[in-house]
Amino acid sequence: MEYLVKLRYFPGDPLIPITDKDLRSISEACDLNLKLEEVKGEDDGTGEKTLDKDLGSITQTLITLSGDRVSSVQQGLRDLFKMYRSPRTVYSLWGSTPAGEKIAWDIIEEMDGWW
Amino acid sequence: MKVLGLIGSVRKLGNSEILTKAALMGAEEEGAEVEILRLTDYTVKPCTGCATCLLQERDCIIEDDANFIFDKMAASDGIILGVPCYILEATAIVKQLIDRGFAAMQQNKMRGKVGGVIVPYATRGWTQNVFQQTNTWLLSLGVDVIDQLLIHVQGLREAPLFEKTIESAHGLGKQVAMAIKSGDHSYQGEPGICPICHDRNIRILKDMQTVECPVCAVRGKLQTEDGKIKVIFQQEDIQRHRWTEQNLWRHFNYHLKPSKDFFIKTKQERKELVQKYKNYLEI
Repeated sequence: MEYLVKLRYFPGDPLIPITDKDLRSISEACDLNLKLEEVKGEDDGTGEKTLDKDLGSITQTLITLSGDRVSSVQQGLRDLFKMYRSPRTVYSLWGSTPAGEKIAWDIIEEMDGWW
Repeated sequence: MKVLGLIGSVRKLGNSEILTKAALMGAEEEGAEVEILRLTDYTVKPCTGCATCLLQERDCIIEDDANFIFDKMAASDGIILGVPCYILEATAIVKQLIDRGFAAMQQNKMRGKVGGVIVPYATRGWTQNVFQQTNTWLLSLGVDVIDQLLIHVQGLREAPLFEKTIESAHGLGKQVAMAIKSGDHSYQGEPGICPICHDRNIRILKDMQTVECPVCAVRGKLQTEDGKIKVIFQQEDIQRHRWTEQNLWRHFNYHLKPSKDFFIKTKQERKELVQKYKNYLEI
């Protein structure tokens, strides 16, 4: 079974810039596929308007993580959150498969929950 | 130059009122035109979370006095808040206004105004959370809080018995007026720990390596030198604190407004899942 997790980081969410180099290193260490995509939303010069926009179209850094072993997915997520912290919003996992989303929720709570 | 005093106490001529008035007298001596409101004389209903202010980018639609209070604050150059601490925290009117301040936060009409806070309290060691609330309210609105006083005084109208308390409040009022005149809004109170709110509350994050101000979200590291704890904050971490204009804009724009699209996307799923709760224990 393939676990697919999408992590949507909006401007200011990651503690440091997300780079291909870091993702490659995590991908190799955890035997995962990691893809980085920068989405640029429309800005008419007065700041981006995000109301009534598809949430996939607004400015964000999108990490797509996939793998077929739960332990690898968990470790990859832990490494990502240790480096960047977890995404901030409820909808930051939108587009993940249900099984992938469940793993991601658990690791976010484990690493970045209140307690 | 207008300075507005806000009292968060129901008690007429109680210590909060006396100390706020002492501060306003100080501000007046520096040339300020002063006005005072007892917040609890006004009706401030709970925020209903309707998100109209967010999604329509407008004032709150609840028909009560909250918009009047925020308009009064926006029309002032300085704000002095006098609020008692009963059980660790400020009185409920402050929390009510934190929640109702959502529209005012977005509109940014209070940014750069000068603030001062006076908290009379009864028992030492029972005040730990009070500045978290006053700072959450005023810093979220963009007010530059330049001083915050904890005043140890217990019974009704006792403040004038202790000359130092009146002098401190009076001095805070003068400081607020002088800061408005000079444009220097730097913090003048007890240094505290957090470089933004100057409170002493620090939260230990789960990595057990990082600490954070729970109000301002400034992260730092603990060090021990000669048996004393030091909290080290890097300049870049200080600059990205929660209450910057840019950070609040990002919060509204990227954390809150896109939730409308998520809400629409999940409409059918929500409709099905909620049935179980709709028919259970009707209220």
